[in-house]
Amino acid sequence: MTTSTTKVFLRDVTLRDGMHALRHRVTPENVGRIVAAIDAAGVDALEVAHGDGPGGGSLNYGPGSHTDWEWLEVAAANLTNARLTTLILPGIGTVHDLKRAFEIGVRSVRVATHCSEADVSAEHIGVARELGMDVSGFLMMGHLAEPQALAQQAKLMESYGANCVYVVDSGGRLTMDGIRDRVRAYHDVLSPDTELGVHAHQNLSLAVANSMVAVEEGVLRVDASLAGLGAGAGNCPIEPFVAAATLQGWSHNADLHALRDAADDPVRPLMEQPVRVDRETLTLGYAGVYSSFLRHAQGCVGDVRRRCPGPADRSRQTQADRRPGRTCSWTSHSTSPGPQQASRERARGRRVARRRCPRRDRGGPRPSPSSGPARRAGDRCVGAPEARHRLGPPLSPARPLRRARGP
Amino acid sequence: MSKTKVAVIGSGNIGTDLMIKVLRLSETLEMGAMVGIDPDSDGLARATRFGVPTTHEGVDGLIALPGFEDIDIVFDATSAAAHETNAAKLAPYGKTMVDLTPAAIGPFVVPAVNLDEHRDATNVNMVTCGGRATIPVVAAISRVTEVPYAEIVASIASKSAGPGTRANIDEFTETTAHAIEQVGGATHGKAIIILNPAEPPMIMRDTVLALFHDPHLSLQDEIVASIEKMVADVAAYVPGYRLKQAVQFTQVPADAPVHTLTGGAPVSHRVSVFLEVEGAAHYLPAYAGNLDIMTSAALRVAEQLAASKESVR
Repeated sequence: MTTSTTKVFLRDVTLRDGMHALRHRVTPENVGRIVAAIDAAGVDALEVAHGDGPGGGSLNYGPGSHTDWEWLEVAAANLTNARLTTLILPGIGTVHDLKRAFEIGVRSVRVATHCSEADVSAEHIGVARELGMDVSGFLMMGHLAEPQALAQQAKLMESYGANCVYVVDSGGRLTMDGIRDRVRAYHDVLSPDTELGVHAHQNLSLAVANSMVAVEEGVLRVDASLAGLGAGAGNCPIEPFVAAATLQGWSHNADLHALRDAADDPVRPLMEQPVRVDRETLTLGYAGVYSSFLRHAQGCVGDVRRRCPGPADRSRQTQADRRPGRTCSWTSHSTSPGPQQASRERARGRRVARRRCPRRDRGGPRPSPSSGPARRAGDRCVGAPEARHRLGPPLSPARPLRRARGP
Repeated sequence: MSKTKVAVIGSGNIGTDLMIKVLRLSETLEMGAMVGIDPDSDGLARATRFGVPTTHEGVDGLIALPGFEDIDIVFDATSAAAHETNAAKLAPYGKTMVDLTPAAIGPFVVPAVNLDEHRDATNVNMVTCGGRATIPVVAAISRVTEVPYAEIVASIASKSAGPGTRANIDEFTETTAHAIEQVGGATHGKAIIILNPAEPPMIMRDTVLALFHDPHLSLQDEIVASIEKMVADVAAYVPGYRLKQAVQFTQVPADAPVHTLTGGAPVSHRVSVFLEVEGAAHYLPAYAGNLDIMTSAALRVAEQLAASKESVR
């Protein structure tokens, strides 16, 4: 049951979770424009950092175009009302990073761990509290823990000093019942003074609905982003959420029209590809897989695809090209049937037998397009059989969605 | 030649595993004492069963223990903060300390890389589990070419991460990053740790990613050979240490903003090294390679320090 006194505290995550969708590449100028637009639209707080928090810039998670400090400084300079926040993942970011963010003006932080590993957050939560910050616990991949088990982890974070704990659906895998049960489990064990938050992803197109269910169950803080910019299929899009919250009569400080403009003007043009529910992101959500590696995986496949003798761009394939059973040896995407197929299969057999890539034999003839993949200079063993198999199956258009093990 | 007596402070997972290794594997070391602070700990109970003198009164209990003066080497498997206290209290007694915590009072020692430089040190630090597994590989790359940036990702089973590791996870990331630079030889080092709760528990995995400049593709074979040799050297004292896949090279895409990692040094390629560390299952099961690589290395270091002392006498 909600009433007209139901309040929503909005935190914009365009410039943190949204970084995943931009491969952590955004200029300080654009950060300034977006922050100013969010601030002017009356959003209560906004989060800025590499998608994996300060210190996330790495080869493993993707280097940022700029440092977290460059982004945070320009954000701090473009704010008047909204609270500047960031997110720390113990194991990646450190207390040192937290203190540096504090010096720049961050007064609110979320300390994030996997849903079963809350006890690695004690030090970071404790230090943030000593600094006088608003501190939230952020239990990622929340669908992997049963509600009561998740609530026990939330209780740990509360015991370390978190004044708010989030239900986080990083994988975009939870349906409304899953959110509701987890919020209720939090209520059962947490102090009434501890605030609750929700962080939804859009892989099942439920981000707005899930966030609304959470608010109906007593959650105050809602994560959302302009145009839904976020990992995988994106986060809860702030514009429709605010529209729906307004229609519900909920109290919030945001200006729907300003958000609509901010989504379409500074943010959408930055997208290199639409952030949406499509084959890949739906698969991730359906299987409950962390979506933040989506762009990495696409990048790797892009590399392999460029080397593949088959069609370089699947969008140019014809329907006939997509017949089941036609599998390129470098990716598992479909290729047109033809005499080259047999040659490729033979070449593949040779490569598998040797388990070494052609570049190793630099004295020998370079692989021709018909006997093996064209490679960029210097690449070696990237398409080793193991790597191919890892990359292959989820991308095959011929392969039906596997049924996720689920309740 | 008589065996060198050692004490182990810390009766948790690492200390207990180390004690078992000393008892079962070492031909030159023998257990002189097992030191804990929890009289009910499994480690102290096992030590008693093995006939090892024990105390549950910490470092003070060790100093008061009959036979303390015969102990030459003290392993510290407590926590960084406790090690600082322990080292200070033991300082007057001239013991050599092998520090398995991230305190890093003494120099980082990695047997396959720099043990010879520190044979006279009275306090040596074993870096971290992830550091032990990965720094030899970083050093293997940097002995071939300059490494402007190296990063390691250590993934360990949740069950193998004890309360000390969990309460001080920054000590892991920061200590390991420093050692990547100081011992591994990279200009910029970064460390990431992931606790993986998967069931059944996963065997420890470590990834080393390093950037280097090789526009003419002249270094790759030498780097592969250097890494493979180093992996064999480490495997000589950690049998479960191995390359999980062939060493891989990729060109750094022209638009990749790696300057935020390297500080601007030119780099053309990235090398990726995938390691697996299976434990010897002396105390925790085989998935806890992170435990095994620390205790195996500490045993190796202590044996070699003992041998150099013996030769001086």
